[in-house]
Amino acid sequence: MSAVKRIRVPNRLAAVVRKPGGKTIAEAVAGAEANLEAIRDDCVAAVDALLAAMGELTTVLKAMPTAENQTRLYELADEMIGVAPIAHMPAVGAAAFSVCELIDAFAETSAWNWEAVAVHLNGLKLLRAMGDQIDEAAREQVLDGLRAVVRRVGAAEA
Amino acid sequence: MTEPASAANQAPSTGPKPRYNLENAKVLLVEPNQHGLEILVQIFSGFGVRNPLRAANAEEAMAIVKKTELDLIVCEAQLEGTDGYDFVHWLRRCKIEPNTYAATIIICGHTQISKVQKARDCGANFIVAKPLTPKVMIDRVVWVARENRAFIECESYLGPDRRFHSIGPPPNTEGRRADDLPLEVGDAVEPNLSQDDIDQMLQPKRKSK
Repeated sequence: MSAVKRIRVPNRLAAVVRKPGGKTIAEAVAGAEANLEAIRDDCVAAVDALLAAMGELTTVLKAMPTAENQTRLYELADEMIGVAPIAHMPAVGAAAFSVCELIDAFAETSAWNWEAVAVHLNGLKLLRAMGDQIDEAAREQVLDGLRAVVRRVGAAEA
Repeated sequence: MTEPASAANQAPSTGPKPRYNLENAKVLLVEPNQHGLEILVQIFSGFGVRNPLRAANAEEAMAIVKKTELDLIVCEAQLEGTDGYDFVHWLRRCKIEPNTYAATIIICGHTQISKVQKARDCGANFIVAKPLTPKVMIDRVVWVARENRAFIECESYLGPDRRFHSIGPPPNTEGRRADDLPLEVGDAVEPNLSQDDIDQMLQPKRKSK
């Protein structure tokens, strides 16, 4: 059993935030939300660029499903998770999360299923194209379908 | 890592609302993707942070840690080369004071199954899942600013105490800390309180002027 040492250190952040002035939580949130709204168009462009890159990579993966290419797809999807909601496309972010789950399941089980990747890419494209035109129930149906694909891939190889 | 309640929700509902001054906070944002970094910069600028420091990878972040005293580090988990978890692990053991104890928040989109344990053991104050929202982020920053957790150093871990509540050691273990109490309650070493003593303790009393 290893020895455990407790160390008490001053909280520097606490000392800084206590200084006079500053913002209430509501003011801080409003300030950040206004700033994020100002970069929304950039984030929409970033979503489209990421989607295009994922599409190209999915085509490459059909012939060359190497670990390196799968990792690259994971990285693109991971970036999409952070950017899409700022572009007011949370469903695209959720679908990108499902891509990461899928690639992680492949890595854990040493499996590979290109069709599962292609289905995810089609789901992403659909959610991006429909945007606000698709109602919440239909959006959830698409996302549930993608999650079911991930579950099936994981279960088949377990 | 147990999720605490929202710091903002703990603020009293009446009276002046607490203010948090981040204008002079030295904040380091570590994010490899251009848009991810821009999102972080906009969030923290909105909170009032002036000119947050930026790094695209762990090596750049380490260089900043070596030369600037920091109050808060926000680091993406997925970094090229040394990842965010390994960077925080390095930070906690680098012995560069005061930065080695700096408040640190890891942000992540998706966490690979193989990295869950690494995330738990790296020594960050918090791990926040994307998508980031200003509300969640300010809650975590305020929580870290308010908390008074000791740092724990042992062979396998160096970072803030991961026990948010004093609920004793894990079941079926004796605990490793001097202040860990046994799960079994021992025999009383003093006489029990009488009913009168208990009534006296519970009886409301008028506050003296």
